[in-house]
This record gives sequence, C-alpha cells and structure tokens, in this order.
Amino acid sequence: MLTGLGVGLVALLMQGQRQLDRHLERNLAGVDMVVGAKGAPLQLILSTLLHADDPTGNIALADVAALQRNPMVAQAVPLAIGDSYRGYRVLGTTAAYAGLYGAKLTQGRYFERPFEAVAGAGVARALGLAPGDTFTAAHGLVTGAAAHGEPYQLCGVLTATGTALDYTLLTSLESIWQAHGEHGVVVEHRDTSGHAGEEEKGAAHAADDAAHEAAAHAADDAAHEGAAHAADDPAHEAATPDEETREITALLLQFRSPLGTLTMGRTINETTRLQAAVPAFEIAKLRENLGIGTDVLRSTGLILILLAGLSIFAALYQALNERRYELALLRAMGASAFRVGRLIAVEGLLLSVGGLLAGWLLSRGGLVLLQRHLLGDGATVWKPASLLPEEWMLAGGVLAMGLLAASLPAWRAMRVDVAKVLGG
Amino acid sequence: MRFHTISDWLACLSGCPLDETYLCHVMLLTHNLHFAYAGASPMRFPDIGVQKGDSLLITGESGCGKTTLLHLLAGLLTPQQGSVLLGGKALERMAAAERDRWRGRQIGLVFQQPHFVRSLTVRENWMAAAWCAGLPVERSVLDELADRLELRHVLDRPPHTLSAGEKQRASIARAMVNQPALLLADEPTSALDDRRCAQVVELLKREASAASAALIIVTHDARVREHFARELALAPPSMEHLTPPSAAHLNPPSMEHLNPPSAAHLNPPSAAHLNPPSAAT
Repeated sequence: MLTGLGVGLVALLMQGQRQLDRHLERNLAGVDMVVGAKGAPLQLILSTLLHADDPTGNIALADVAALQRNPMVAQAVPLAIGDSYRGYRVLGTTAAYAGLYGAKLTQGRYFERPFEAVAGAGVARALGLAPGDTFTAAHGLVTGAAAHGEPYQLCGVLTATGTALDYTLLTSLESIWQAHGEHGVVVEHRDTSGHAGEEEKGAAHAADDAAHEAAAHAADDAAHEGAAHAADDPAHEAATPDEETREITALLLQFRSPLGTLTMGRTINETTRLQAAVPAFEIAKLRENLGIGTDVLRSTGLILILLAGLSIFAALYQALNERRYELALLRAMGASAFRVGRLIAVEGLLLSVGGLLAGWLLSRGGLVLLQRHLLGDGATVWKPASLLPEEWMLAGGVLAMGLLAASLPAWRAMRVDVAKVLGG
Repeated sequence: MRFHTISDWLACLSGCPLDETYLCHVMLLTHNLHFAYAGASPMRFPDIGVQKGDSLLITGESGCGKTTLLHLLAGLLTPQQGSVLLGGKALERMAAAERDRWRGRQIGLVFQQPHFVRSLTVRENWMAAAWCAGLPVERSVLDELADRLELRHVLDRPPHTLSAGEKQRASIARAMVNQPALLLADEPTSALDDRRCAQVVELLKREASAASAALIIVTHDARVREHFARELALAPPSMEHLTPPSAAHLNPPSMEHLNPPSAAHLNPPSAAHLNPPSAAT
C-alpha cells in the first residue's frame, strides 16, 4: 500500500518532469534567441514560445530590421501577439513560424492575403475549424473579449506537433496591423466580410502585401540576401507611410553558429532598446526553480518508499512470530532452512512487486488526470505509456528494498529452532 | 532373529554371521546418544533399534527427555555424542539441508497438537509435505489417504475449520503423504478421551503397516501401552545422578518388553543401556 503510494508519487514526478522537459524542449523549437521589448526575459520567452504569459510589450519593426539583415542570423521570424479567438491566440507571423516546429499543412494552404489564417491542429480539432470557415478575433487573450476587426478566413490547417503551435492560429503580420493600428483609416474598406472584400482593397493593401512579402522574405532570406534586402527596405519604408508605427511583439532568431547567441545577445541588450533573451538559459533557470518543488515531492516519495520498506519488514517480522510453528512444521516436513528463508524472501519480493504495480498504475492514472485537468481534452503532449529508464531504476530499487526488508525476517526464519518450537 | 539395539547388532557382528535380510530391514538404529541443553545436565539415551514394520512405544514421565529423544531420532536436534542411523544413513554426518530433506522423505511426524499452515487448505497442506521433501505430489496417494481417513469432504477447506478428530486424522495423513519408512508420533493421544485415544493408536498402527513403515510413539499416556508389545521406558533425568550402576533392577517391570527373551542373551546387563554411561560401556 505504502509502496504503491511512494512509487506512484515518484514515478509520477519522473514522468511529469520528463514530459515537461520534452514539452519545453519541443516548444523551444531550435530558437536561439528571442528579441522583444525590455522586461523580464523569462516572461518574454514564456509569452512568445510557450504562449503562457502576457507579452512584455511591443517593439517597432524598424528596430529589428537591422537584425534581420545581420549575417550571423540564419532565420528571423517576427511575431505579433495580442489577439485571440475563443481563448486561442491569433499570431501574426510568417509561414516560417510553422516551419520552426516542423509543422506542415494537412489541409489548405498558408495565408497569402491579410485576414487569412492557418490553424494549429489542436485548435482546428477543438473548435472544429476547417478551411473556408471564418472567425473574428478579439483583442487580448481572454475568451469573450470584444471582437474587433475584420473576420478572418481560415485557409489551412497544420499537422500536430505536440507543441504550443497546435493551439494557435497563425495569420500574417499585416492582418494584425490592420486589425489594430489602422482601424480608423481602413474601416470603410473593411465592412465587407470575407474573401471577396479583400480582393477589392486598394493601394494600401497592395502596399501591405508588399510589406508582408518583404517581411517574409526578410525572415527566410535575411542571411542569404542581406544586401539585397538592405536595398529593398528603405524603399518599402518609404512606400508605406505608417511604417514607423508598425510594431511586432518579438523576433525569433536562429543563428548560424552558437557564437551568435553570445555576441548578438550582449550587443542587443547593451546597445538597443530591445531585449534579447536566450530560451535555453531562461528555461534552465525556470527548471531550476521548479526543481526545488519537484525535489521536495520526490524526496517525499522516496521517504514513502522507505517507509513502505520498513512496513514490509515490520509485517514480515511480526508474522514471523505467528508463523513460528508453521515454519518449524515445514522444516520438520523436510524443507531446508534455506528453503524456508527463501519463502519469506519471496514473500517480501511479492509485496514489493505488488506495490510497484500499484504505484505504476497510480502514476499513470495521476498523469492522465493531470493532463485532463491542466491541458484540457485532446492534448497530445503526454505519452504516458513509455517506461523511462529512471522508472526501471526505481523498480529495481524497490525490489531490492523488498528483498532487503525481507532479509532479516528470512534470516530469522532460517534460524528458527525447530525442536524448541515443536517441542515447546 | 530380532535385534533391538545397536549393541545387539554389534554383538552379532562380532559373534555370529551377518544376517543380510535383517540388515536391509533395519530402519532406525541409535548408538550411545548423548544430548545436553545449554546449561542443563547431559542426558543419555538408551540405544534403539527398529525394523521395518516394527512398532515401539517410548514412555516416560514428563521431563525425562522423551521429546528430546524424538527430536534426536528425527534429526531436529544433533546429539553431542553418539549416532542415529536412519535408513542406512548417519544423521549427524549429513549437511543440515540434506538432513532436512532426508527427514522429510524417511519420517512422517505426528505432533500432539495437529498444526497446519493456516493459509493453505488441507489438500495444500498435504502437498506442502511433498514440496518440503522435494518429492513430486502423488495425486493418487492423496486421494487414497483422503478415502482411507474419511477426509475427502474437508480436502479443500482451511484446516482451522476442521473438527478436532478431523484435524488429528488430517495430520496423520500428512505424515503419510511421502510414504515414509518411519512414522514418529509425539504424544498423539494425550489430549483425547479413551475412545478416541484407542482409535488414533489403531489408526497410526494401521497407517504404518499399510506403508510397511516402522512406528514409534513417544508418550506418557499409559492407555497406549496395551496396544504395544514393545515399550522403552525412559528413566527420569534425576535418576541418572542418583542411581548406582547396579540400579538396573530398580527399573519398572515393563522394562522386560524392551528385551525380548530371544535377544536377552546378547545383552548381559539387561537394562544397561537405560542407565548411566558407566553401566552401558
């Protein structure tokens, strides 16, 4: 019983930690650095990669333009966060964002025009969205916040990746910008809904599209064609009068070499209004902090297991007295001392195996419950069936403990004075 | 020709030609057994010889070492001196595990209180006897025993739900599961009334002869005497210090049974082996 609880707790923690680690790792998606507004670096990481916190604030697109062209940058993906649809974030970004997580389209195509969107697998399943559906984003991240702007039209659905991406809706940066800063200006163009309306948009849209293309390409090709874009960008800034006001939340960077992480990070933090945060560092810090909590729980579990060992010992030892006669009887009937001792040892072993199985079931049950509770139905990030190497070690440890706990009673059983017991 | 003690046998070896048929029937022989519990004065036991199919009653007041002797015979205790020859093997020369196994195969033990392994059924208890001795379970033997002892209806019940008589029979049956060569019973009748006492003794004799096993009953129960031709009466321990070598004639008349006339001439001091070492050697 105790063994079950102890093993359950420890195995649950092991699984939980492993799953969390894997979850985090997958969500970092090879992003070397996140550049965003000044603030807590952890917040920046959480908000941009895990979508688990509010963004730190916005940065001007112009400020990061230079970064996109930096030769050390292999890939730069802009992110605009702030809108949501029924609790799911609507991210303004480029198609490269999905690529970071290795997601592909299962249906439809990527957004090409403003107010087209691509849904993550989880969102699509949860809301039953399919290409062609429309939805209206709300400002902020709370369900039921006032809807604003033009309805989005879904044009594609992504494959499941087991990351936060599955629970987001992706659209172009322009969609976000138009929905926000440019309300007043373009509202009359936008009162027609859906795709047809888009077609009729004027010069402003053309400009937007151009900017969108530029941004997307900047992301994809920044390094390759840094020079070419350097030439393009001024032109495009000139073409769009409100370029100055265009903002994004963060820029995700992948570097060509690890060196980039070090040098760029320092440069950005020291010389610009921006903040550069390295996900790996921040997550390591987070894990350390979480670690204290899990350490406490883990030692509680280990103490429970130790207690279980003691209780096995106590049970066997106590039973020994009641069974003296039975043991002596077996000896009298021809069982050797070793055989009798082995019986007790096997009993201890069986008790701990029982505990182990109970604990394993308990941990898996707990995991499923946790998953339901924390992530809602249909979350795909947990794969509780797999046995971790740590769990094998735990199992070995518990069995060894069972044997150890049974060893003294077994030894006593072997030394039962048959003649005295039977004669007495 | 019958021999009852190893001294008979030794005398025969030195004097007369070896009787092969006798030797292959001899089940149990003891010689010069000494045993002392820690801190207690040593006990010396008379030599005993039992043939296949023989029965022997060992009597004595409580405290005279009856149970100690039984445990020595069964190899549950190891004598400080002397030898127990069981089925042709000297118990004290065996390794402990080997002795346990040999006991399991050669001896069926019946105790005063019929004890069982509580968590097993009667049938499983019987099977445990075979398991302990490292023998295969003979289903036919179990069935036969159950029929013979009228225990078929309790086979699958836990032993503590049985009546006293059923328990007693079940424990005798358990002793017979491995078809031992020697059935050793320790006070099997002391808790029973006269009628049941006679029944149990008859049962033991019947079972022993059915398996052509030797039967030794250790008891202080006088009622058992009438059923046995041979009786070995143990002297109380205090006697050992008090009785001079010549005390042989002080032994009760029942002693006569121990040395049937035919063997008497081989044992000049007829009660010597019951008495202090000085008398025996």
